[in-house]
Amino acid sequence: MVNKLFEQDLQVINVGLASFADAIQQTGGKSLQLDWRPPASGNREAGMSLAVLINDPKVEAANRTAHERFLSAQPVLVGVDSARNAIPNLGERTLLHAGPPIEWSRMCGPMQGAVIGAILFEGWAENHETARKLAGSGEIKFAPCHHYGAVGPMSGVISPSMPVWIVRNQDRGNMSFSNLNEGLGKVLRFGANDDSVLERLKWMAAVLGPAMNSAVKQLGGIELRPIIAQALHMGDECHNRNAAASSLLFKRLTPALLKMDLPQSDMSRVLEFVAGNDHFFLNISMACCKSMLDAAHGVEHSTLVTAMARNGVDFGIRVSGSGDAWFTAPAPMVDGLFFPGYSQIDAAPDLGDSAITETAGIGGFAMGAAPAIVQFVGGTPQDAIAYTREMFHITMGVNGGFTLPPLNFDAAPAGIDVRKVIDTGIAPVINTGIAHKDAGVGQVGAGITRAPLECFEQAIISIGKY
Amino acid sequence: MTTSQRIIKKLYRDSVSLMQFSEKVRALNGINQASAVMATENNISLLVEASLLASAVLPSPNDLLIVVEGRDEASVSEALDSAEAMLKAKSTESGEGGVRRVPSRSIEMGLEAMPSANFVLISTPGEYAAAEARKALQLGLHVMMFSDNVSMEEEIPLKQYARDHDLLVMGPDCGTAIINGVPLGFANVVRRGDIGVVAASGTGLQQVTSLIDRFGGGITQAIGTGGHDLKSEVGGITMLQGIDALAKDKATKVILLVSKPPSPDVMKKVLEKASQSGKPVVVEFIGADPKSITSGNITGVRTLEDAAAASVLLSKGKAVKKFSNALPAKYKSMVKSAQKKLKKGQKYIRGLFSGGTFCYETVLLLSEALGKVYSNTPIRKEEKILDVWKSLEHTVIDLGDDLFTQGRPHPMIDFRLRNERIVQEAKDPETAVILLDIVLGHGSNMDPAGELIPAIQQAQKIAGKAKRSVVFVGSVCGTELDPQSLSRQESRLRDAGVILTDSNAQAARLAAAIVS
Amino acid sequence: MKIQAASIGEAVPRDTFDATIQSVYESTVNLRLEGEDRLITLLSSDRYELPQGIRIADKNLSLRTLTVGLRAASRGGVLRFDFSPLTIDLRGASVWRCRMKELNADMQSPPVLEAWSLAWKLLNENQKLRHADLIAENLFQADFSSPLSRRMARPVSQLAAAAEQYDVEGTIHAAEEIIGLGPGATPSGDDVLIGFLAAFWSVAGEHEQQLSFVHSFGTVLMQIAEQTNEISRTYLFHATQGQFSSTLTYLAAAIVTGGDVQQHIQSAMRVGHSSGMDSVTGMLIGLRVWNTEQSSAYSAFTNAER
Repeated sequence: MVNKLFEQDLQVINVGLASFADAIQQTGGKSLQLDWRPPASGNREAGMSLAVLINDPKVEAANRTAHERFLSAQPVLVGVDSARNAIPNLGERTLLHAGPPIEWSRMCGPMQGAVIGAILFEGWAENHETARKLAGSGEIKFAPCHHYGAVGPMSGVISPSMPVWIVRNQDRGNMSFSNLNEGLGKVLRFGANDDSVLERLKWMAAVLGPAMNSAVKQLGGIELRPIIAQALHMGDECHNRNAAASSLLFKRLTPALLKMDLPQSDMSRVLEFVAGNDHFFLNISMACCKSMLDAAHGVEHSTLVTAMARNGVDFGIRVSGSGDAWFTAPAPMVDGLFFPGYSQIDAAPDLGDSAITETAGIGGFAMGAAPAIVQFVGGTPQDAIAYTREMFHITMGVNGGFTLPPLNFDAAPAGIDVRKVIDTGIAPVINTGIAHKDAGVGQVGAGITRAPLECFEQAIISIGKY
Repeated sequence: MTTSQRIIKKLYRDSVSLMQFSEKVRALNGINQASAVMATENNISLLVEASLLASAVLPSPNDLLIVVEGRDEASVSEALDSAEAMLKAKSTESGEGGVRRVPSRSIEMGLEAMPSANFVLISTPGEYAAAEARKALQLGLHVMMFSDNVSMEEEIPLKQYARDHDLLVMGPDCGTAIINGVPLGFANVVRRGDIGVVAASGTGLQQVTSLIDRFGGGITQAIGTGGHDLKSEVGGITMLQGIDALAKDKATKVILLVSKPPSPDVMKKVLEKASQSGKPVVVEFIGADPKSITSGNITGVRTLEDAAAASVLLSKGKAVKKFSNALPAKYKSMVKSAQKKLKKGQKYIRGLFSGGTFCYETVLLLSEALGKVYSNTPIRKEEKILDVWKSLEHTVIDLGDDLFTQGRPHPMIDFRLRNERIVQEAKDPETAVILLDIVLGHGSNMDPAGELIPAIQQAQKIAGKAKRSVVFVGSVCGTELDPQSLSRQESRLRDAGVILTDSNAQAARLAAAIVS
Repeated sequence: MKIQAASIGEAVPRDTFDATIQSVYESTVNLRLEGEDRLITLLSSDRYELPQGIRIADKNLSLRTLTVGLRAASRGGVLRFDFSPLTIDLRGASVWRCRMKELNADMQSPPVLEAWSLAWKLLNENQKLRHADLIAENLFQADFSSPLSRRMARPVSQLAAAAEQYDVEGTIHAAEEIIGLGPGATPSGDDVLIGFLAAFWSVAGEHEQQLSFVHSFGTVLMQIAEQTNEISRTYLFHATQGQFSSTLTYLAAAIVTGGDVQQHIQSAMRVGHSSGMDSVTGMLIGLRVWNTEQSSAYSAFTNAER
């Protein structure tokens, strides 16, 4: 092959001094100058780990397997039940939360507020004060939603009596779960826990959940990918904008609901509640993404990212070939637009499991399909397309099921490869809401952030040790 | 109103983009209706129904059919032409799949942008170079590592991987190479010919290739190995691969090897490989006795100049003469006139070099002629100069030594340090000759003569005040086609009073003759 | 978008190569290897194997995103294309090796002859049913049904007769009359020649005279292959090396080793518009050239020579 080189035109990729690339071109060779910077912010161990994994046949094969499982997943919404009944092995006195593992004392304000609310909702304590004490006593087990196949937006707190959506991947049979969206304003996921919040949660458990369950059952389950695919053609990216998907879901559910024998007052509250919440689909979108990604988790040697999640303090990722490990870094602040009266100083760091949508190739990755979102998160429609295009460089491929009209119906980038993130220094883009740092205030803005490269550096070092 | 159509063979576009495209065509001057479709049976009948197509054409679903209706023949045919151009331009400009042509951040991204790439040139800081080289190799690409400060622990596995996959790793610390006529790193623009070079030394490679050019020969390939290659730990992997490749290369008639003497085990392997090459091989192991090397098809030589001369002779099918160690006659008159300028007490040579191998060769030749020569790269330990900033008797300094390059560009680029030293040497009443190398080529300073001449003039002025004169002797390593142009640089330096020889070796001999 | 090649033919370079996209069809793409007069063919893995084929499993893949004239290059076993996100990993693909040369067909064995007769019958039935331009038995009858059969009849008989005598010059002389004959990317005449070569290789086994004949015939045939198009020339080139598609190879194996002739002749005949049928025609005729007791079908075409 050395001799073969002598017979070819020299075509050089130049890494470093740009003048060398110029000299090559002046003397009749071809050269391409890289926009290079030290990978892994100069961490040599991560850099070397990465180097040996580049184009490694074992990793490539594992990634193909993982990516194929991810793409062939067929998540179907099959019903609603209490977390206690739906989620296997969820113990009593267990509270699930968003992001990587975290103990009570380190939790951010909104998450602590949500934990207190959940304790009160379950009746494990009489009042806020005793609830707070109980939370810190060690008698409550805290665990990431992700450890139980679940996902929850913002603080993501799920308690045993809360209703959860149940999604089954028809391809591989794996189950995933998410809580039901409470709407905007004073809500548990932002840490609000007053009586109005608790009343709503009780109603959701008693009325909304069962109603949704019957409707979904009556429909024989709802295939979720077609709804997302259609919503992407209607201006949603199914993370921060779910207006179209929520409407599509409402269209499916309403006739089924109307056939049910529900008291008039319950019926109208259910319909009003669903119709009045443009984010009603978000939690389902997340469970769908979780379903697809869990299918791809656990493939030895695969560098596919299967989860990105934040608890308001740490940002964590999981990787298909790295088992149960979390690779974490401090959660970043979100660069965004704030609602009137709020600013960056009010914001909590990045929070919630909703980055599962980006992990699955929608949300920020499909931003090009949702030009309207830029009014909410800042930027121009061109920026939105640029974000999506950039993400092609860190994904293993595309999701043929999700196409993006503004990109000439190209398939959305899908399947983050840890290697590509480190090699290019392009961090996954996340499109997200911003929570107030204090419990109970709610959402104060929305914007765009990037997954911290540190998480990926740790992951590559760990993978390299195999 | 007139209609016309055109079939574009084997061009596929999806219906959405074709609808957008049809809109664009419709907007063209003088056009009322336009439609671009894949030429399927259904599409054709639709067009016939819409009276855009006078009669059905044969369906050919892989071809694209454009029909337009417009004011007159001219506008219709013009529209069809631009439509076709638009379609074809799109396919090469943007490609498909929506991948934006963002600047490539990694070698793999680079390969996606330039799939036919076959080579990666790495000049990153040394700590990152090994990782980049590893990526390149695993992606199936040949590598040149210009970067230095790469440890042997990193170098060895890279070279082993490369050898096992029949790929080349030139370097680390490979300053120069010429592959397929393209100069890489610091390299001269050398005529193509039939001499293949493998060299462990960067400036050694530049000297032999430039001299081959000067002597009317040319090169096929000039492969750099990097300075560690011929140590026993590395085992000469790249040089052995280089010899193999040049032996197989049909264009190469003569092989030239340049290095400091390798460790004995590696020397044996290299000479064995050279003897099996089936081609004449010239070997310059700088400082080794040529007689210990010459045998069979292998010719050992003493200097870089002799190496170039022998290679050119062999490539022209001529016998290699015995090279003389004496100064050629053409320089003898210069010695006399130079000596006349010197005062008593001006006894010593001060060599100020930018090229490591030039320095080393000079130390060797001067020691032979004059005895003790102090240097930061001495041949005998006891002649290591204690204070590199101050000369002692005959002193020859390599200014490219790490000692001098911390935090500043290489002396081939930045002349400030050497110029200061020239002035400093001129102040010393014992300085007789200031001996220089001047290196041209890509990567080097764009006007070395322009950099040096003011310093030379200042040096002469200082010496003149003390009623002395300093003799400047040097050689220019380069070719006519180098960006700086050999002849222009030489004539300006001569005008400034510098005595120039063709080669570094002759400059050393001439300097020695002046002070003898 | 990186995808895995499901299989590659034995003639596909495994490591580094450079190529230009020569043609793009609905589901196949041909690449012209730099510095060589042959092509590499990308095709979907639900298609047959080719010695020059790279089969790719991804059903969703649109090869039409590739553009004729642009470059392709394989580095480290990964094939990439200019201006296309498509990347094909050739490593780990299974390698298709044609076993035609190892069949060592015994055309005197009664079960083999029986299998041959069945194949011949099925071929002719199918050709008639599909109103093919070339119908095998018409080549040996006086009433030619199509202009193509008429053009082909004499040279095909001459080719068989010359080959029987190991007469390379005579065989080439006949081949020259049919090479490039007929429409399409692989003209019928070429397909028939490929079929003949398949038969010669499968019969020759270790037989020195026959082997030497096939070698010489192949070498000279490639010298006149300039007369046909590039795609067809690639198939002819591989045929002269003893490398054939899986469909033709499996059919030959079925005839020779008692396999399911019915099934394999159907898949062999389905290839292309008429390509499959044409090469089966050549192969079945070619199988009866050497070491054959006169059978009814063979006498049919020896009669026609008179």
